[in-house]
Amino acid sequence: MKVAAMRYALLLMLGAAAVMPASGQGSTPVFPVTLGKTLAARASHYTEISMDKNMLAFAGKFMSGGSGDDADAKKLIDKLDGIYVREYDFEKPGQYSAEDLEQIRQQFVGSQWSPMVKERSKTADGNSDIYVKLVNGQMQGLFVLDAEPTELDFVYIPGRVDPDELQKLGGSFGLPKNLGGAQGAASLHERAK
Amino acid sequence: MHEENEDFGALERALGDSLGVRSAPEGFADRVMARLPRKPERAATPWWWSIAAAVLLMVCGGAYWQHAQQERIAGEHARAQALLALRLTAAVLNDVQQKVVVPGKGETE
Repeated sequence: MKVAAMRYALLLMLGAAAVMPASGQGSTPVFPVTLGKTLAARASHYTEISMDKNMLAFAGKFMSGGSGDDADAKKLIDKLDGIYVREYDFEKPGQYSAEDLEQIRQQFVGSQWSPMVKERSKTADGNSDIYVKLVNGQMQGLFVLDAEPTELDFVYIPGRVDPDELQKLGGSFGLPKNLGGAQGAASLHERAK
Repeated sequence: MHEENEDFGALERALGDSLGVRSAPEGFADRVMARLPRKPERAATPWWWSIAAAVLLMVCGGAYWQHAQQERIAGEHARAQALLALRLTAAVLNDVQQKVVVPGKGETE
């Protein structure tokens, strides 16, 4: 009787462990699901890319490690915990509000996130924000918000983002060669120290 | 002496007669084989076993090849998605940098 009870308890524990969500997996996107769906519904065209650490590792297997963009990409994504991109194009301005953007910015109000760049336009040219997650002096996350009247872009990259490597990628993937200029990646690196 | 030679010659003739080559009597080989223990006969393999084995091999090989193809297609798609994500990231960073490096009427902190 005791043996049967122990076996039943062990089975219960194993079953509970199987259904418990795995911890420590890649970070989840920070975009509110409802807002994402709202923006997608209003956009004339949108692009949503969500790749967690496992997907990036899978993609890295099919990148040639010789030279060129594939080698640079593989070197970069090996250190990332994910990459999430949202790009929304609207036919006319006014498809999102300042409150919508503030709702997203509020998610980065915390001890580990630091606003690195805050660009506000007094005209309708748009706003931009760059937030960096610092853990023990190292950059462990990057969030970029670029808002224009008819376009809204978000980039969220959890994981070890090295601004020096980002700078070295100048010329690849359309990155300007002087990305590490006075207000570019070098500035981010200095602020992160 | 002469009698000893005659005796030795007779012995040689007797030895030659007894040790000479003689053909086996008729049926001797059959009688010997009949006395040997019989080995159990192996059952004949049905002819269709070879065909079944070949078909099974082809099915397994085809399934493995198809799985490898699907994985390769999924991998190429993931690779394209990752490269697109990096290119979009670069474009967004470039836009932000342009706004920050060349400030317009906005404020930058």
